Amino acid sequence: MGIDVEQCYHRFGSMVIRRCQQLLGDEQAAVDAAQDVFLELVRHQSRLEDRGLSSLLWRTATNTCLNRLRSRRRRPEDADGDVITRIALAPEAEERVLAGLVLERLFGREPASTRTMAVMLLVDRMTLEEVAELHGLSVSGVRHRIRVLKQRIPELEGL
Amino acid sequence: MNRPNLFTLERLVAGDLAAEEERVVLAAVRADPDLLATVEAIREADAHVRRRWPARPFLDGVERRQRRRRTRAIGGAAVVVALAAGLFLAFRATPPSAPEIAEVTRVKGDPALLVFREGREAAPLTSGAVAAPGDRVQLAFEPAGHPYGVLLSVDGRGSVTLHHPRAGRDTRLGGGTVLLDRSFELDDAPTFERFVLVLGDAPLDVDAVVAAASDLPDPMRSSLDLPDDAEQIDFLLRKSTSGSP
Repeated sequence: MGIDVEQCYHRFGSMVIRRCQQLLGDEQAAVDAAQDVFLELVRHQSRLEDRGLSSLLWRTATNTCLNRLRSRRRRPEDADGDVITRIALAPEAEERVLAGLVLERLFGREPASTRTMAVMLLVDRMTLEEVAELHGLSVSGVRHRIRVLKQRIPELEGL
Repeated sequence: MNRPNLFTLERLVAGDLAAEEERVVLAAVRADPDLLATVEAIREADAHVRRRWPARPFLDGVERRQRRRRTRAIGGAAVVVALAAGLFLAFRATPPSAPEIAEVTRVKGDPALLVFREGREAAPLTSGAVAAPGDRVQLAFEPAGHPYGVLLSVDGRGSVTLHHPRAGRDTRLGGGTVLLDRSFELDDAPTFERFVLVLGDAPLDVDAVVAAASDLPDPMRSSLDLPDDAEQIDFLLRKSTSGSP
């Protein structure tokens, strides 16, 4: 068990940076966020295995960027028409009073972020089945989770 | 199969697909000019990122972050331990006639909100702990350099209680750790008592903070609508219906 983080960077580093740039828009901000993603990898490297790493990194990068967008613009009324920003500012289905546990959830047994699922559905154009597979959930589980976001993100209606 | 999504195309470029899936995805890409263009764009961007951000400097940056985080964690833990010890002693020694705010010690670090249960544990409670109606709790907080603060609680009925400032509207803090002199008895409001500490670098509008806390879509979880430079720290006590566990 355990992964080689440098090898992982060679293989997936540019994918992570690109993903962050796609969501944050700026290359320097993307590299900064990507370093946070790899920091999580370093912190949990002994518990991780090579299988499924790309999914884990994709989810973590998405989540990290959403959190950054959320910190940048805290109030829902700050959101413009950009669906990524609206998702970032929307409430989590399972949001806790104590913030900052989202990445822990991704690496642990806690459920994944609903906002991340919404980005995959609306921005990545993944199907419900693909999002479910990526998160180890059932399709109905994904549907159930995104229900809470539908008030804020009308684009989710009909999924 | 479904049309390959961006993540699948990224995995294709990274060589992460199993042989059979790779074959199917490649066939789809070759048959679709848009997909082909996306894959070519990924390959170009890939080459750019590899040139611009080689592994070593990137990972050196990650290691620096890790060292900083460790330092902060150690500092944060030390602050909490110092606070807990200092406040427990101060809590026991605080005379009934003490001023509203007692400055216990000056410690730097992250802001912290501590809740002690009177007559029970010496250690502060952890957020999410279970308490019962009738329990008395003592509140303390470390503003970590923020000169202004408001402390309030919201209960399971959505009622807001202001703890600091107790009187008037002056949100200025003394500059060190703050221990409120009066303990607070939990009433029979159901489900939870959520304490919210709001810290700012400019004077805070108490009425606006109370109004924000009174108008939460989910009083247990929602963030308060605060000025951008204000910091919010939460502490949740879950309520049992009977006596303390």
